[in-house]
Amino acid sequence: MELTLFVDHACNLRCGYCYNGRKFSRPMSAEVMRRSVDLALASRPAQLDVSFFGGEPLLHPRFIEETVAHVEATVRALPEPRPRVRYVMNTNGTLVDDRVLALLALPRDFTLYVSLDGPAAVHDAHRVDESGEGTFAGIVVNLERLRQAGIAFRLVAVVRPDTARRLGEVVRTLLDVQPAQVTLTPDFRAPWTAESIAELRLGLHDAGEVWIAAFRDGRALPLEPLRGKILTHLKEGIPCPERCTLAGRAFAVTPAGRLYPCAQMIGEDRDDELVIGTLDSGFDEKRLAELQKAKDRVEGTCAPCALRDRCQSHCGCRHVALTGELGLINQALCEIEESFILTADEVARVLMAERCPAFIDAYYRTQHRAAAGSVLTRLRRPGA
Amino acid sequence: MARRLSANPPKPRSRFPFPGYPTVAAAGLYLCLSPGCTPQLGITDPGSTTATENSLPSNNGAAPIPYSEPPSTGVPDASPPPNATEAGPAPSPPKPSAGIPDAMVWSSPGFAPEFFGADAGFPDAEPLPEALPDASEPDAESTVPDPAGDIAPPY
Repeated sequence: MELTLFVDHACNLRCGYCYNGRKFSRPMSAEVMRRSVDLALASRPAQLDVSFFGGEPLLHPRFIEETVAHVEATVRALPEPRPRVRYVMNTNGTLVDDRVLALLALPRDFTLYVSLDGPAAVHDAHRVDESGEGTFAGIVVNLERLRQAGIAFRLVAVVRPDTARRLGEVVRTLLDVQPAQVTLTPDFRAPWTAESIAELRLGLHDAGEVWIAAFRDGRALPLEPLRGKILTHLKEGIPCPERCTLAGRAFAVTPAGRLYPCAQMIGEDRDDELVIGTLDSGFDEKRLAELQKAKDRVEGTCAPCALRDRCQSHCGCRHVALTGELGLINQALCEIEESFILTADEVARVLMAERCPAFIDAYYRTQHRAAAGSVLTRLRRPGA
Repeated sequence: MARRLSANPPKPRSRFPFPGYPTVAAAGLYLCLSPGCTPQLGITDPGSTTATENSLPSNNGAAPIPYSEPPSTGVPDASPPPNATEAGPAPSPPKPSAGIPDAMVWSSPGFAPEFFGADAGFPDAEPLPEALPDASEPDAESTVPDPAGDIAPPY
């Protein structure tokens, strides 16, 4: 179960592509937080991921401390078997101080996503503060503080039509700051054109070259979504737990106490269209079923497509970003997804052809370690 | 003048070239199969800690689906709402997977030399245990959690 707490609509940055609307102060109360945790734990999940989102969550370090303390106390009070708890935070990385470092430090299982779009010229083109100043330099200093404190972080780079051609530089810059993972996130709301898709493919080619070089140096750093695309080929499809089930195992809560399938659908929390309940009334199962049915229309659109089982077309928040409507996609998604798949396959083909040890270890051994308690089964070879 | 992409539903890709690297099935490796799911792996993210179980229902204790059965169409199951999804008794603690070493994937007799070479040489490979669990004869006593996906993707 993943519970996402939309901590506040306020943010100290004014990123040009932000999809969350106006920035205004509406911090989540401790009461809403506690009721959200109770709702997430009500069904006794084996695992609970508590995710902090916004707005900028680190505007409210005390709230995060209180949430962690409440979750840990609540889980401790549960009878065995207690859920395993992990924390996730999406932050712009500008507000890392000693208090935050202490909060994120071990032994807590905290996965930190920091937004960094690439080198200064790329990052500062969109990720600016309230006075319009770029934020690259300050974030890089903070990433070094995290690194020196032994706190792993993952980097998220938004890819837009105007920066797509520079993806080689982007990935090189991001790998240099030694993240645990890098994710390239296309801005699906951007006006993608045939020309910018062509630039994306060239940029991805360059990014693939950088990634190949890292493998040859013995670094198997996960570069998403390319890593995921390779796995979808290895596994012959997107595995069930990674498919979007639209609130099947996750939900997001706003400061107003409204429930959404996904934090990316909240915006300013003014539209009722994607609301699936409230903390007061619980989940609106009828509405959720309607939304799931609407989302699944995409399966008919994509049924004849050869890339269907390697594509993120099942992801409801992408539908909303692309067309504003669950279940509807457009050509931009197909072009972007195909670009990632082609690049991933080319990287894997090259590394397999040269029997790159880091690649083979990461994709044909490490990745296939059994999950705890799982059943290992001998596969039937094709034709066997 | 930049050409905007069509806002209409896309044309499906009817064909796609073989990617040029083997699937794990073609490579003769092993998968862990979980009840109620298409073939999938227990993924360990190199950047994270360990694979863990998630909270999805475990198919009411039904037997694992052998890989040789027709795979899923890819259409997600109709998902019950969160409160229903999580309903039912709490899962039992994971049962150890018969002490099978992680490295066993490389010691598989099905290992495909056409992809990796007959002398690929993985020094930490260990011999297969004599009795591997078989998909057709699941351990009736085991409660097998679904392998977790990675931490939720970033926004």
